Amino acid sequence: MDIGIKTMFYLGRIPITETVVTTWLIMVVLVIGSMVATRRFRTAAPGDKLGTTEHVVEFVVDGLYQFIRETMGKKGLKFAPYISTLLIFLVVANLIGLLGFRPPTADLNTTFGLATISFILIQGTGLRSKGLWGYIKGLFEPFVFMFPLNVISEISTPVSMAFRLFGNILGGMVIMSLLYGVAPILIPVFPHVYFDLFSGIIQAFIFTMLTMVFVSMASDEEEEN
Amino acid sequence: MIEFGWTYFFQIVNIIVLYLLMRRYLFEPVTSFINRRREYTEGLIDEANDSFRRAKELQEESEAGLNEARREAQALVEQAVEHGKTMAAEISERAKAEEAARLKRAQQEIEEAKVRAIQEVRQEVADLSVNIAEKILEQSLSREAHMQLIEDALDRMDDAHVN
Repeated sequence: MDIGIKTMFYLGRIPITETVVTTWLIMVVLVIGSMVATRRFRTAAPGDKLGTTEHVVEFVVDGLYQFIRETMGKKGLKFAPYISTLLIFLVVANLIGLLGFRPPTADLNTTFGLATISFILIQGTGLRSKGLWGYIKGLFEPFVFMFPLNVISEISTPVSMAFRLFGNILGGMVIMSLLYGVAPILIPVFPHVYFDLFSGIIQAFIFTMLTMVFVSMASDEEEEN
Repeated sequence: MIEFGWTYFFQIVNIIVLYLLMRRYLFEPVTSFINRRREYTEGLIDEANDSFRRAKELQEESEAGLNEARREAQALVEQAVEHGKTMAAEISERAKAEEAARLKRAQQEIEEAKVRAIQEVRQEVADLSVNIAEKILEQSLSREAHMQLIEDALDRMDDAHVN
């Protein structure tokens, strides 16, 4: 049983881990898939009939945008490409365990990287909607001595998001490798459905949903002021 | 696995690059196509509405024209009927007048024929009387004297008849 992360090769003195290589693979597949799938969207006239591929792509993109608009409001649409990318990447990354790869999300570096981006988005949105002074003032509310707690609260958001995703995916992975050690044939099929399919999709959804909720909470205060 | 390293930075860069590429190659083409198609469809709907309105206007116009034509035709027919009636009346009037004239002429002719016939009869009677008188009297009175006598007698008869 090996649940550690292998270092695939070194770039100079920098180690390139399994996580990074798998992520690159996912990126290549997603980007090339997108290029192929949207080929006709670039050339089609508005009145042209589209093929099945185009309908599926439109259904997915439109569905994601609709979902984001429902969750974040119309203002959220400017975040839609990032949120959609995040959701698609997380679903693929969580499910890639089914193909025998080590999920990149079972590495704290990945989940913390994603949480860092979400943190920057949340704080950036807050800063932009409240202004620098309003943002700083917000940290001292309702009382001045609440400042340390407010800071901890802000920082704990991405930390909890990162650990939740990491823990769930790693947990599933560990249980699956234990199961493979005990009963390698047929038995692991059903746990796979739960630990990879169900848990993977749910965790991808939760991470994305939390990012959306926190970003839109940060920008909602703009309307109140 | 739970220690931080270069992978952390790699993953942040990876996600940002993936985001940029996905935006470029998936989200922008699809959303821009959807928007273009929406504009196109809205244009089509507007156009259809315009055409519909125009068609309705044309229909109303043509209906109005038709009604006008119908009214004119009705007026023409009425006029023609009126004219016909007048003409019929005139013709019948003229026919009556002609009839009356012809009747009058016929009566006149009859009157003339009567007069002529009376004249002839009177002549005949005169001649006959003369002949009879000649035969009866066997006298050689002059024909002229006889005629005078008979004429007088007849005139008297006429006067007596008239009175």
